[in-house]
Amino acid sequence: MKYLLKTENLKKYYGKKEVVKALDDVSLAIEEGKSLGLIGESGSGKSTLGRIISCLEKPTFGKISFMDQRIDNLSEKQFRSLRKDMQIIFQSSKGVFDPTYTIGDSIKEVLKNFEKLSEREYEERIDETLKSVGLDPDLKYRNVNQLSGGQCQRANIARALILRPKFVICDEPVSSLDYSIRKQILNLLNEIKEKYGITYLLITHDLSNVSYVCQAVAIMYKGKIVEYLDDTEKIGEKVIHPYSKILYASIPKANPHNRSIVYDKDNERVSELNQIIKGCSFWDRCEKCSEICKKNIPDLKEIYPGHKVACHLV
Amino acid sequence: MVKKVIDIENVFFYNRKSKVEKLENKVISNFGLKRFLEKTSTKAGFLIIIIFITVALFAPVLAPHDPLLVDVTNKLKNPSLSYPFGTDQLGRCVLSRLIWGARNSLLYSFTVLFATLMIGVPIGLVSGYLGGKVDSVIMRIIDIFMAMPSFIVALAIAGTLGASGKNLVFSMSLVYWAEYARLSRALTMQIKEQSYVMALKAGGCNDFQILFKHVLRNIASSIIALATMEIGSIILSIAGFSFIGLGVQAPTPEWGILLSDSKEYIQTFPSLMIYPGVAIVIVVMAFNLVGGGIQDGLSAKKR
Repeated sequence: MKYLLKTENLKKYYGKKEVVKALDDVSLAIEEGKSLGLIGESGSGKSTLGRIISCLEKPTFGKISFMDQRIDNLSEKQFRSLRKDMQIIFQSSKGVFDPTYTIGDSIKEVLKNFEKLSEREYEERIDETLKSVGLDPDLKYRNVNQLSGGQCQRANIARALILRPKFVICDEPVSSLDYSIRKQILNLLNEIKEKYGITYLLITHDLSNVSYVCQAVAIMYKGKIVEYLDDTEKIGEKVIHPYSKILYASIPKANPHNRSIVYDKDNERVSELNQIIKGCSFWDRCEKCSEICKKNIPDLKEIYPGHKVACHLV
Repeated sequence: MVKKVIDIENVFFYNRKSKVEKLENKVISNFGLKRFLEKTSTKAGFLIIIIFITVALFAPVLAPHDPLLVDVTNKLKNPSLSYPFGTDQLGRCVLSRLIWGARNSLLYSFTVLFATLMIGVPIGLVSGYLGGKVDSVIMRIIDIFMAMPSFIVALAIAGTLGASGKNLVFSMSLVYWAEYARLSRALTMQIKEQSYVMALKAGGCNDFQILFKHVLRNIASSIIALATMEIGSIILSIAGFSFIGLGVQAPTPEWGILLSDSKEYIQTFPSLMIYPGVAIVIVVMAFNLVGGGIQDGLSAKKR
């Protein structure tokens, strides 16, 4: 099996005195053409993982390989040639474009960094890409402040796509958008995926996004992957890990009488990354917690083909 | 057929619209100049500055007489047709000296400003962007230069290298660059946290591109605001240093020199002192008006 991206025992610690373990032993593999959704609550380390994979930050420990090449020890200069194949879409906000540049110039700059074309070819390529994300090419003469939120996010996607990358990291691509626009953008991501053959790493805390775009899903908790599923249909029924269950039970139901979440107020604790916990990172919130959970850290075991869980009790 | 015509019109209209839009955006993105000029006082200041700069540029054409031509038989004359502002104690044309004085004063001030910007801004950019040890070393150096009083430095340099316009420019640049370094460092640190900087990195831009094509562009307006506010005080300082003999030397026509030359005639012939004094006041005020206008425009933009 060919892996597009593979991380092994990735760790990222912040701080010197009080160590914050943003990532703790993350091993992931993404196959070509099989987009992965990464889910987790705020502070679970999913955005950190995105930044580390795209080499915007260096890991404290661990290996990352991209297209059969180790990338975690490359310098920014050496990695630059690989950026053509790995792009990142940031969370939509006006801040992702330089306010003194027009949209067209911002996109052109990215293209110019990697490809030497004539001025005319640059313009054609930008127009074509803007059209493919559903924007009027004339918008390239505008500044970011003159765009709406949805347009801004489409332009953001256009900037990532202009290089025709193989792998795109989407860091919360829709979380700051209106509900009506969210679905449009997700459908757009889907269309583009099929058109250009892109593999995504979709980082999100919105569970409903995943099944739209992804073929596999990983659930993170406190810097660790607690569950991995090779299939995104009816995830809610398939998950086994107690945390994943709570996570899926928290999806709001249309009918209030069907509310399934039963949440013990006493057990509610803020999950803090710097809290040093022996054993399973979830035991203090887990209902089924037993003695072994407090002592040993569970490994990510494969229980069915394509289904991995890190829990002692399964 | 009819539909086709409409389509063509549409295309034509779109092209024109986009061109206009493109132009408009260029003007707006030119540091938002449009907004700064909205206020009447800023407009007036801008106009005065342009007049003075034009006068300075065309001094050889505009000055009716040679500003250095001494004609003692003709000294201390009241205004007349051939000498609109009269003559000074050596019979030199006051108007010509004022016009050439504008050229020298503005030239020296702009040189100081240019030098301080050229030194201060890149240092501030690099210091703010790199952070860490480089930043703390550079900051300590900046602190040292900030601690030096400009008067003492000017005195020391005039004492060791001799008093001249060039040395005055040198000593003032030596002190003033630190302020711009400090400002651009602070602004760079702010911009560095913006998410577009990370997006640029992901788009394959190197540090040089990010700093000089993006960060510099974003902090330029604030630096221009400070510079226009500051240039008034630079003009004043140069005139002041020349007045006490630490800067430009007589007989070079410079406003400070004009003032100091005429100080013995303050009771008998006060107009000699009034003309350069008024010129300094007007130019400094004009620069302050424009600087204030730019700052207002900036804060409005931020809101």
